[in-house]
Amino acid sequence: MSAIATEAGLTGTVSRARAGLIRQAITERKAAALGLGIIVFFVVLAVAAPLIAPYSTTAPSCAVFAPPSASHWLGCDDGGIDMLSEIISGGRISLIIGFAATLIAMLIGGGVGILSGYFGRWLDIALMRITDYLLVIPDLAFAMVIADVWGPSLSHVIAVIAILEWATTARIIRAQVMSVKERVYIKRARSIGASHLRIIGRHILPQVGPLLMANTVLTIAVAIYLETALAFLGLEDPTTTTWGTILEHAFDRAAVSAGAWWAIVPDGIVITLLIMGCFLLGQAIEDALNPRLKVAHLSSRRWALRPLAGRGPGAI
Amino acid sequence: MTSEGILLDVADLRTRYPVRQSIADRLARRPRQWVRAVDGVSFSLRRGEMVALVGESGCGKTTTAQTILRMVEATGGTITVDGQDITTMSQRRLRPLRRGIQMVYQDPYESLDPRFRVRQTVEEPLLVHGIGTSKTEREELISSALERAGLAPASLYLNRYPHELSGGQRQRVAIAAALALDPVLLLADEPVSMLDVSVRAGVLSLLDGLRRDGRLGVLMITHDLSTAAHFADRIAVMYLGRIVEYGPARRVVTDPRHPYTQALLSVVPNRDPRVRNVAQILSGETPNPVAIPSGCRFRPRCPIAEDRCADVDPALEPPGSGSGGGSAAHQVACLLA
Amino acid sequence: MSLLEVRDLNVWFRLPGGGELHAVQGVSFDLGPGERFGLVGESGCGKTTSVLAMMGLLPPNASVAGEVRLSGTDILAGGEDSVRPHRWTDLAMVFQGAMNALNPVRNVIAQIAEPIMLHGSGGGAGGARGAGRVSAVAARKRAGELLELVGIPAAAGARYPHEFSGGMRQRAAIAMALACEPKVLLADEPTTALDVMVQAQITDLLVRLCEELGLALVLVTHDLPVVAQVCQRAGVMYAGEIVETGTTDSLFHNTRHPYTRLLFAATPDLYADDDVTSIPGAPPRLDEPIMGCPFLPRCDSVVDRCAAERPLLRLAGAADGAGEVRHAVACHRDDAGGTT
Repeated sequence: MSAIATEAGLTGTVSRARAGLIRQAITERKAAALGLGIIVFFVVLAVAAPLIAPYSTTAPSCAVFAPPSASHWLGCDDGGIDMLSEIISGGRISLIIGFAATLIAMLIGGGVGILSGYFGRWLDIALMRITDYLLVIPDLAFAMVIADVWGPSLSHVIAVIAILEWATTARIIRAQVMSVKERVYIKRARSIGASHLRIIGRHILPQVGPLLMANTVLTIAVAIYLETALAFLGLEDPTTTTWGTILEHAFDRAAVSAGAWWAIVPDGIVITLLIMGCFLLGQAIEDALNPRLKVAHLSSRRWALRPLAGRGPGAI
Repeated sequence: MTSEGILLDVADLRTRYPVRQSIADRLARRPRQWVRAVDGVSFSLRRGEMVALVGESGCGKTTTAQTILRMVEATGGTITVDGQDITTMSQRRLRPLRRGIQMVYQDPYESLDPRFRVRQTVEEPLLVHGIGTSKTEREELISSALERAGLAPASLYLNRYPHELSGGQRQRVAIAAALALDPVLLLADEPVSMLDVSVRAGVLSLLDGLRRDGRLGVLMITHDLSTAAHFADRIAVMYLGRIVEYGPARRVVTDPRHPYTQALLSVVPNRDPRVRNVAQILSGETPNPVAIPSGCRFRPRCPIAEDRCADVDPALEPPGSGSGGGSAAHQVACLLA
Repeated sequence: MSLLEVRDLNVWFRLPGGGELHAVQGVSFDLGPGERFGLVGESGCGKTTSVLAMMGLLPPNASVAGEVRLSGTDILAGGEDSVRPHRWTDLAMVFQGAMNALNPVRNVIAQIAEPIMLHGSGGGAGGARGAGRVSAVAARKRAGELLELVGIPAAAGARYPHEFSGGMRQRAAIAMALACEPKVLLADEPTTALDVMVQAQITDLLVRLCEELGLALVLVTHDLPVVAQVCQRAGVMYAGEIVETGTTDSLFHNTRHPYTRLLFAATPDLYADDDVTSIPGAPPRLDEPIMGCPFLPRCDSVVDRCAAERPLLRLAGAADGAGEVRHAVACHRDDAGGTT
């Protein structure tokens, strides 16, 4: 008999090792794999943009609003620039903005959430008041004001998105940290004399890691969306090509009345696809983190009866 | 066998928590109320001894342990470990001393980080205190701590995760982590109450063995009088933040002097169905430590309370009357003992 | 014909990764009116599953075999549909941790009145269904009576669960279980989370209820001393089956099964001086078929037969004195002439 005995409890299954939770979430759910696939696809596209884009994005290569053809798969925009190249190159910038803004938002949000949740008391109150303030401000109004004051530029857009996004993460992480902090192994670590830094780094961070990951993916989706919105409202540098500015140009130059659907729809589709991919992945990770809800009582199936096998002779 | 010096001396220890006041209370300037969780506790422990703090929930035994560990700040009294007064020592000065005082917690399923392998859990105290200059040296210490805790051969357990171990094994890992620092004082808070009965004796014997080889003293917190009677040298029975009876384990169990101890012992069910105690079931439940009764705190539930019990808060003293003369070792806080 | 007859109860759980867990492997016992029977065992032995099966409260991945006869009728025969009419009206249960399962946003008396309004307060299957529903006022009055029965003043029922202490909440849970005047009460670890004084109050209450109401009790617990003091008969469970059963007196004074013996030895006694021992090893996995006796790896008195054949529960040593009311053991040693 093995010296390592697992309890013969009614669960029967050994709970899964924590490492690989995300991996498991992805392999178990098709939606997650799809989401990851979409994201990877766009990342590869963005990285390889200079090599893939068939035409230049600055010099015109066809007629204004030329429809899709064999040489220009997605037609051309108002300046005679190939749509496909624009989307590919634009994706690169959009993704950079999205990822960069999210990274900053996660660092700030995660940091605030952990500090707030772990130390509590005055620090918590102070940080949460700031967070509340930012949560309450209407996103677009705030963005417009800031962009107006600072002026449109790539780095400003990243900063604005990051500022708008960190607050939600901070709240979520704080809640998780507060509950993890109460667990006995944390108290035990304190009683050994472990420093706060050690406890946060070795014990708390790994526990909130998956949640942070799920949140990051979902925030990327929001960042992409915000970038689009900001560009569409004319708050971005119009000389850069991003998915948002493509849409902005298209509407500015009346692509709709010109009947040039190819100047709008493909761009809209890729934005939607990426956001959807992020959501699929992020939701899947979040789902994997939640203990499965017990819904057995809602099931229409019931416990089943089996025929009684013969009993041994003389048995009671 | 036991060294002369007292390892742990607790004198008139007090710990209280403020009760949160509503705005209405503050406006009405009502006096702040306190939860007097530990309200004057005194006892001592020698190296090689096991003392059991026994009582029901809310009596303050866990808070006493946490105060000794300095996880909770005392509001009065002194805690002396190996001659040093650690009651108000700053956390910084306290840190090196924390090596000597370790606690084992009640819940073996929660006291280990589920992401840490056994090796990492036992290694952590060593890393925190900078013990062991090389990885191999630390491995040695980890393995010997595991084996001292009964998990032998250690190599079988080093790379396991907690969810691969049974409750008893997890508790042994927790004990090993406590032993890694070679402590002088081990606080065990209900170490076996969440384990199966067939596993308990193993862990308790482990604790018993650890203190018998003279290196450390064990303070065991428990609600189980039978366990205390079997393994501890001395028992301190707590009620509402005070020790009401204190003495050699056998004596307290066979000749209890305090009415609370007597009642408590009478309701412990015996495994032999033929032995039927006359159970003194006290009515009601332990009152809230916010509103501790005046005079003797046990008075409202005491079957033999007299009028004078409302006036005097009895101190822990050798019983006045009774067989064999009151030995200083056996003390009771009761006017009628 | 006893009030409750459980015959060869088996429960399997389908596991998510495929395969089955055989949680209960043939549990049988009888219970008469007013009798108190203890089902003792450690974690994972299947005692809670057994009583849940009796109530028909198993999850959809469970399958059940065997009979549960209430006054002669097998209530499991038709599955959920045949069990439901008897739930709460004939067979009631106090769940593990019931004291924490009270609804925090409703006051206590309302929660006790609820089953009365739903099922009627008369005993028997489909009691008041045909006789018309019980009015809210009448249900409340009855709930008040039940609270008094378990030792809580009816006026206190207006309070909320968080205002009750642990012991009072457990009493409220018992009152709830008694709402429809069942004949049999299944209590799953009713005293486990309680202090020893409160535990004594609750066990005292249970005994009193059985005597006053003629209630039959199945007490499920891991605490041997509680069973010894409260129950007249008991069954010791291990790895899903009852390995020894008899009066609590004969279980202690005439122990036949090594597990029972070791379990008693592992339970400290306040006054006894003998060593407290532990049982090495761990219970077997129930998702694999067990060869031979399930206790074999941990047993201290093994014979050859133990590895080959699984022992069945048989009446112990028929030659023993007339006082042995159905003391049965599942052990080969006993067949071979008894242990020392």
